[in-house]
Amino acid sequence: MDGLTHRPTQNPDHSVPPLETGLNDIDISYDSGSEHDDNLDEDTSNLEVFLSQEKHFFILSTAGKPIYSLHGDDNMIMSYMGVLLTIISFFQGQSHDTDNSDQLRSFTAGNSLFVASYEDPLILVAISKRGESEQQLRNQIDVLYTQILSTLTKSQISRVFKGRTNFDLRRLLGGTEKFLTALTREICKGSPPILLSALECAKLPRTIREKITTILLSHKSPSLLYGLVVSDSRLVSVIRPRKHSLHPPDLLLLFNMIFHTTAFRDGEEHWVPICLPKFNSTGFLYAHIFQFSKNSVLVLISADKDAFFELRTVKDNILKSLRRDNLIKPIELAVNNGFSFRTIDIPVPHIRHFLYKSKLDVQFIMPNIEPHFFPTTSSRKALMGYYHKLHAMVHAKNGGKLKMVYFTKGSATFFGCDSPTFELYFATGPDTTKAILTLSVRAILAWVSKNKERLFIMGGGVF
Amino acid sequence: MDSQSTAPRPTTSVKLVLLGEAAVGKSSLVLRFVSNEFQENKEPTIGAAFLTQKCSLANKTIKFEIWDTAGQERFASLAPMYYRNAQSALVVYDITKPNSFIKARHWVNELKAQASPGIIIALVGNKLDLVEEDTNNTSSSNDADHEDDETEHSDNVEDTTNAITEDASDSDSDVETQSARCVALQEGEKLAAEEGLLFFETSAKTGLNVRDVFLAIANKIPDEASKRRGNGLLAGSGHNGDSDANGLPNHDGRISLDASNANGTGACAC
Repeated sequence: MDGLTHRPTQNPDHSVPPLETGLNDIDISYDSGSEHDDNLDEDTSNLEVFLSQEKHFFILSTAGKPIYSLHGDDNMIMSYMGVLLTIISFFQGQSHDTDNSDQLRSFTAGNSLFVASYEDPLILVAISKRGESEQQLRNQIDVLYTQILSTLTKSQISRVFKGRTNFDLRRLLGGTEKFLTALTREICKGSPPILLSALECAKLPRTIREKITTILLSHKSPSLLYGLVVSDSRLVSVIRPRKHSLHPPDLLLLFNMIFHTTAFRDGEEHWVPICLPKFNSTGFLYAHIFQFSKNSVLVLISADKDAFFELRTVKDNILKSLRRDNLIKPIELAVNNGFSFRTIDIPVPHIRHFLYKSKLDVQFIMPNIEPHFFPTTSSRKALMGYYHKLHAMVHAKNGGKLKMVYFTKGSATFFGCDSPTFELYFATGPDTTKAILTLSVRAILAWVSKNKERLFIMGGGVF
Repeated sequence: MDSQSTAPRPTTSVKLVLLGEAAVGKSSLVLRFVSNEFQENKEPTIGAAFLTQKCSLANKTIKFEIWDTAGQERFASLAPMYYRNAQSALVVYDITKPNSFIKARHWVNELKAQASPGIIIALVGNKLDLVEEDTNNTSSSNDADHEDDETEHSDNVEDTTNAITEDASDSDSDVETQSARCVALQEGEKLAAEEGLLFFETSAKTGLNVRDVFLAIANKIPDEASKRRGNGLLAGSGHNGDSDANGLPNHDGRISLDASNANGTGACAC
């Protein structure tokens, strides 16, 4: 634990710049503040609300057509996107002959960090006053981009824009703004799966999970590509062909679609074309989605669009077996009311909350956020904010990358570390000594290792 | 389910597909038919939903296997998958949205050209409640309408792929006239008569005429017995006639505001 470095934010050490000053490194001395001025004077009250938002996301076409904005009405967005496009094209104008020409990647204005991403023919921009790192914002807009891909596929987007740079993509996205909005809402809440690009599994006894996986495997049919049981955005069980693994960003989109909207929560059977961009960004897969109990959904995915009735039979057989073996109740209990596990279950004194990511499994775990420690929405949001800060510190790209970091803020100490096999972040009591922190880390790791099979899905069912 | 009946009635499975522009109320019609419920601000269908519903008629039970498809443009290419083997289709439009009627016309043409030759098509003008409310009380229907308008906007411009040329002329009036009727009863009747469709105006919100649509289709379906009798002979077509006379609303698809109509010949099993 030699790498442990005490880092009070009030008094930053020069070796690792805290986030706020780190952002200034990429300041391109843009006339700061002009975004916040009243250069758009249509509807001041709305504009004030618009400008006071901590986070913005904009998606526009390279021709400047708005595709998505988290806040604001159309008029406001139009002028705002115009400004963004002007700034962006000013830099592109310098050398636009190749794709890899200089492009404006990020800049700060006041305390806002702007990050732009180019996915021709789309431009995505994230703006934040929250102090996230450039990489974190880039990751957030990538999530939004993959959502658009999952609706349309990359090939369809290129096709509609071919020869029609002025195309209005919103007409093809009709009805899916809610998925983007659900994602941005999760991002704004500081959602750990997005921060860590990892999945959360439902905590289940190993035997129960094995039984479920065995049932899934025993009913698989020729057209089935992936089969998943998901409960309240947490993976319960998965089966997959040996040569294909599933990518957490794809599953994140799928879970977001299913659990953060009501479109699939009606007990009906759905047959949905979906592109899983990390699997294949150019083509659709077809998902049979069926909610079989209050929080739980069976998802059967095929590459064959005509496989609905085949998968429907698979679904009937799987559910029959799950009911016969009384497995639905344990699944529901595992995630009842968003419950995962509690910090008091872990033999680590003073620990208030933690995030642990297993890099190999690309999965993370976290205990319930206890109202005792985090009574308000803003205190929970602050906790996620500190996790972002720790995450940024241990992932900082240029120099000064730390293996471990901690700081005391208010009445809590926050700790983060990044190792080759795991990432760990936690909040504990104030002014915790280095020795105690070290003990806490070891105790958490020991507990995780002991409960590994309940907490993570190791490989899933393979066929 | 039918345990009270004296002899088990033959059950016929009928594949039914709903087609129509986004936000005309396809899912709401199905929800009314299957669960007798209505949800305000229902989220748009993604892809398609599959439902079944049994319907007991005097002499048989019909089991509807319903494909409730999404109306958005990006799903249009998937439609053949759903109507390919369908015996019946509901082509739905919103009587306050002229574009949706144009779209309905296109769906009818596509079904005539591509679907099974004998497919029974019902043309359904939905949201009758908006028009009725409009005469009594103009203020209450705004919410639903806003949502529709958004979807409508995105669909107005969509038709480069579907080559609907009339669209442009309609898009203006569409936005201004909020909840007034924009598609006359006679227009629907005329299209239905030309193409040989069943025709109804409905309100999924109040339930008006919703069952009648499905019952009318159920009654037009030749039952298993007549099919069997027909085997080996030419067609057995004579048998279809009785069920028609039996179950169709006797006003040629005209709207009866008399709700008792819904409890007519055969009430639904659940």
